[in-house]
Amino acid sequence: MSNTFVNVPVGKQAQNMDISPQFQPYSGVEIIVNEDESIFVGDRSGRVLSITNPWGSRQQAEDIYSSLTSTGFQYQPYTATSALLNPAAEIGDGVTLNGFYSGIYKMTRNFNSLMSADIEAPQDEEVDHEYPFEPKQDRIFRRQIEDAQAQISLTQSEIAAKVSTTGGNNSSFGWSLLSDKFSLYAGNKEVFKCTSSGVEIQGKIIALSGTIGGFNIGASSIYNGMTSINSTSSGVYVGTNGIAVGGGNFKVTSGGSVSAKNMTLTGTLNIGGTNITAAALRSGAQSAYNNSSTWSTGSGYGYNYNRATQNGTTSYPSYFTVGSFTCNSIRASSINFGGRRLSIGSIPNGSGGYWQVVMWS
Amino acid sequence: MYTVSALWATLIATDGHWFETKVDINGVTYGQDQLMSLSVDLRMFAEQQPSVGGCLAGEINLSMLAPSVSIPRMASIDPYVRVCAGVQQSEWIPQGKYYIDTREITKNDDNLNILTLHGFDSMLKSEAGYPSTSHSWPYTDINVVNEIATTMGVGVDSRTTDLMTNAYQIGLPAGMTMREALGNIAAMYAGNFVMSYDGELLLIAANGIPPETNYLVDAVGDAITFGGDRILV
Repeated sequence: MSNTFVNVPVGKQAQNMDISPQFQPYSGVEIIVNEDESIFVGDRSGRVLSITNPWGSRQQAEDIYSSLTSTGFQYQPYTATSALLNPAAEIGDGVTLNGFYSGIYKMTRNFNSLMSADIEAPQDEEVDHEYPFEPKQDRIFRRQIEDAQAQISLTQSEIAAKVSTTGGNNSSFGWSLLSDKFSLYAGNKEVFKCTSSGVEIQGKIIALSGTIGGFNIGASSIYNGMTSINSTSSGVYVGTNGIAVGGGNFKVTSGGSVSAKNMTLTGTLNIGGTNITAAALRSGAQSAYNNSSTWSTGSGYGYNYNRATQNGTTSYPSYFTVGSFTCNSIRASSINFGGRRLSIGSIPNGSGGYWQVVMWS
Repeated sequence: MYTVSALWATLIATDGHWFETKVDINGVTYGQDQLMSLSVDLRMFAEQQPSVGGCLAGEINLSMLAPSVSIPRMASIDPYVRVCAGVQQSEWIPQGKYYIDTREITKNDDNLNILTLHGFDSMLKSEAGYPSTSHSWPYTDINVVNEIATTMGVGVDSRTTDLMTNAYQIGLPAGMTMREALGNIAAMYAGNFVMSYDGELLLIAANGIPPETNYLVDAVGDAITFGGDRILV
């Protein structure tokens, strides 16, 4: 059989009894959740049960209030020494003392042949004045407290008004806190907007750290994957000392050095005044041209069967004049020497064919 | 009230009854011939007025002739009491489970060694961090209490279960001791935790005393019985 709380009669069987006036009934429950939050149920016409509990809730306060008020519980303080109390009596049991009813809330049990006990419903508070008098100093102190509370309440109401509306001047600087976004305005423009989707900013941003679009922001670089210009990890690095991508496959330093694993140019590459194009390598008056499958070079001129370049100007003459030069072979339809022409011709050979002959005219 | 037999009720209502005490210390029983004084202090409120959200530990003070056997550190002390009348004796009922905190040996006037022990009940075992758990949080209040009791190696009094019917959901007691967690749960029911005579966690609501009953009593307050039954008026 389970133990139960019961009313244990003691009657007058105690050495001393001191019965104090019963407390007022509880009329309210206050749960202090933390320094900033408390929950109150009921009113303050009677006693208020104050509870400190970080797990407190309004439901708990209502449950406790209902329990206290439905039973009409009133705390009955008393002290009884050397009471002849049944040893089976426990803390939490009721006790009847000379016509008064209370609980066993504190007990010192002496294991003698009588098993006497000092039992108590303790009280440690000032006398419950029925005709209260408030000294002058108390009145001044209470008034100061009330003034301070009123000022705090006023401040809270002002804060509440501000955070629920818009303010400022949108042409210079304004703001609004709405149910779906917080915005800042300047120059009649929304320069900052914070919504559930994120933050949008129009204007200058200074960020010394953090990430943006997956890129890390450093004091002198932004990067993704590559943490330095010489990193071999894949990614991108853009810093004050240069730019690199692909773990160094392409790199440009702040000193102007470029390195690339592979490079394709469709225009002109100039190296110290030397241009490289798809068809020619040219430095000043020196040129080299790609003639289909072979390169033709010369001193002072570039040669091709029908193209010449001199001093950067390309022409397509039917003939052109050169100074002295040395070469292994010349291909030409004719060559002029001091106004006389040396060319290749042909004369019939009498057998239906032709002979090739050198003609001087 | 601890549940007692009909014999107990009969004997305690008998004129000239008395009580006998024994104590089990670390499994060894010591009777009144060796005990010199024994008392326990129990309380339900942490303050000298009604308060809730506490976990109150009971204390025991014991003086006895020093036994010949050595008593280990933190040994258990389990006091028992029974009622006697004439040649009849009731069953022993427990008066709590305590553990030695401090000890002292002195000489009495007869130059005998007197052992004085002071101890606390199992509530002090709750002064440890909340145990790591594998279940998800929040967790129902009574489950949290059971979890703590298991960790403490104690049971839960059925009256605790009877009282905790609101099934409040408890968040992870991160950074709390088990005692703090128990105290917060006790506050939810406007009560306090104590250890019962059986050494189990017992939650008592501040307004938990039973409704007042008025029995017919004699001039000294003893209940007048009719065939052994008290008379309710």
